[in-house]
Amino acid sequence: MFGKKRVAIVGAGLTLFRRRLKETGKELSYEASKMALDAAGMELKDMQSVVMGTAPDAFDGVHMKGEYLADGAGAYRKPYTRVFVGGGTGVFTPLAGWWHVASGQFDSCLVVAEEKMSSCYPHPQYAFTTIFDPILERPIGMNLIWIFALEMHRYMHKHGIKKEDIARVSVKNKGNALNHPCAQLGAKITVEDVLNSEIMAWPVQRLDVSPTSDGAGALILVSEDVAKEITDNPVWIDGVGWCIDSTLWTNRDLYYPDYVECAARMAYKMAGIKNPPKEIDVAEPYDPFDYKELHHMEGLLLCKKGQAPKLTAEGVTQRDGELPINPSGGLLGVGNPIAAAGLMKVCEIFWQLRGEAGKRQIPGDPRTGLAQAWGDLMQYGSVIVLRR
Amino acid sequence: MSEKIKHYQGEALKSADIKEGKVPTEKFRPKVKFAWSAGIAIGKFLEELKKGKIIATTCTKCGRIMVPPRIYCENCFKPTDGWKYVKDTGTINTYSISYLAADASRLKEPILVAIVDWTVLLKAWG
Repeated sequence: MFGKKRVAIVGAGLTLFRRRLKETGKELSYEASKMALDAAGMELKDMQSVVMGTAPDAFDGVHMKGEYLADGAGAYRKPYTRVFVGGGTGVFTPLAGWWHVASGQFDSCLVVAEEKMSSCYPHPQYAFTTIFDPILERPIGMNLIWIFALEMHRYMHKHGIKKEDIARVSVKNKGNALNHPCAQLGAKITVEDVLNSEIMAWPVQRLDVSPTSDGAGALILVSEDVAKEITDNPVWIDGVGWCIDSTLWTNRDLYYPDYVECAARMAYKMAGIKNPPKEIDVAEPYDPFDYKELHHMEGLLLCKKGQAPKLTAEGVTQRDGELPINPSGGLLGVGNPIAAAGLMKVCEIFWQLRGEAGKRQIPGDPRTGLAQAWGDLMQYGSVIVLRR
Repeated sequence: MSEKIKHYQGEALKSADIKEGKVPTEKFRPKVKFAWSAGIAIGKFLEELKKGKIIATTCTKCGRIMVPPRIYCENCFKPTDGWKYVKDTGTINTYSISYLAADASRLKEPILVAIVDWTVLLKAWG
């Protein structure tokens, strides 16, 4: 990779995550961007480029959403790109920001991720019907809950995993979110609460699932030269990876996310990581459903296939465990404004590595962290490895 | 969130605030409609399905029989090698019992959904 420059994150911002916010998408983008700039001690004029991440246009009913949000993201008269890879967008957006700076083309990039799902009636889930194949899939009346139920069931069947093994993830993450000031669904719940909650599409129950949300997040990315001028504690983007699998999802074995492994291997290779469970101090895998945290831990090679539930039961993934997973509270606890949710995970790793996570701070002086998002039709993985 | 930041932006609304007109909103329902071509592969698949038959395409290079059929093999990135009827029985790979309709409204009677494996190795079929 001749000529590639090292890229640092020097500031992060996040709005509240709520079912419905009064602010528009532009206003949310502005609030997050301004907060990130202030945190970095920088101004918009210092930003040479802007990357916006936002998921399906159908949530807003505005089919040029990148352009629509541009001035809220400070992109006025700047090189600007909107990226969109479904649920993977939130982690992919800083990856796109990374190549803006790593290429040497820009010394700085403002990375913004926004989602406003509440505008869509009767429920934002209905907008998702427009992601499916119009001939073969849409006439069946599909929704995302039951296609993920198919994946969850396959994962359980393949490894003999019980519902209670999976419910522990929801208990942990909603508990962690009690310490996150932006969280929508922080709660102290039990495994029994999850198992007794409404059955949506078996084996998916209400408390297995993250909510729909409004929210935004932002990061400031700069080149090594700029980072050394403005801060003593930059966090470096040392690994990036992304990968897509076939849209013909019924032809794949859903028990394991190969595309996540592919993205992780790309990021680990770049970061020089040979033994992920030993070398990663903290991770934020994508958890829109509780089983997804386990599924993704395995895809990220943080444990062997089928072993993630065991580590969870043993407390390894708790904040004070050997390998803290989703100390933020994840999507299950903090909320799931799609693109902003993925970026929230990158923000969390940034704050954890800087020792700024307050009550959520994991012990042991973490130096290397990872965030991952997942999207499209169970086919997309985006991975970022951060170090300080 | 960083402990250095003391205030977080965002003003939460309730659904009732919208319904009762407490905040200004604008509503819009698009009247646009679509007519999609089923395409070459799926067009034939649907015609055969009407006759009660399930048809696949094959790739002799990777040895797959593909349902739903396609005109190209995405693995070998070459044209598929022909059409082949498959048996009308398969293996259930995974299933769900869904109480949710497409718009997330609740169904009184759940629907059963499943992935059936039709895709088998050409060689195994002989």
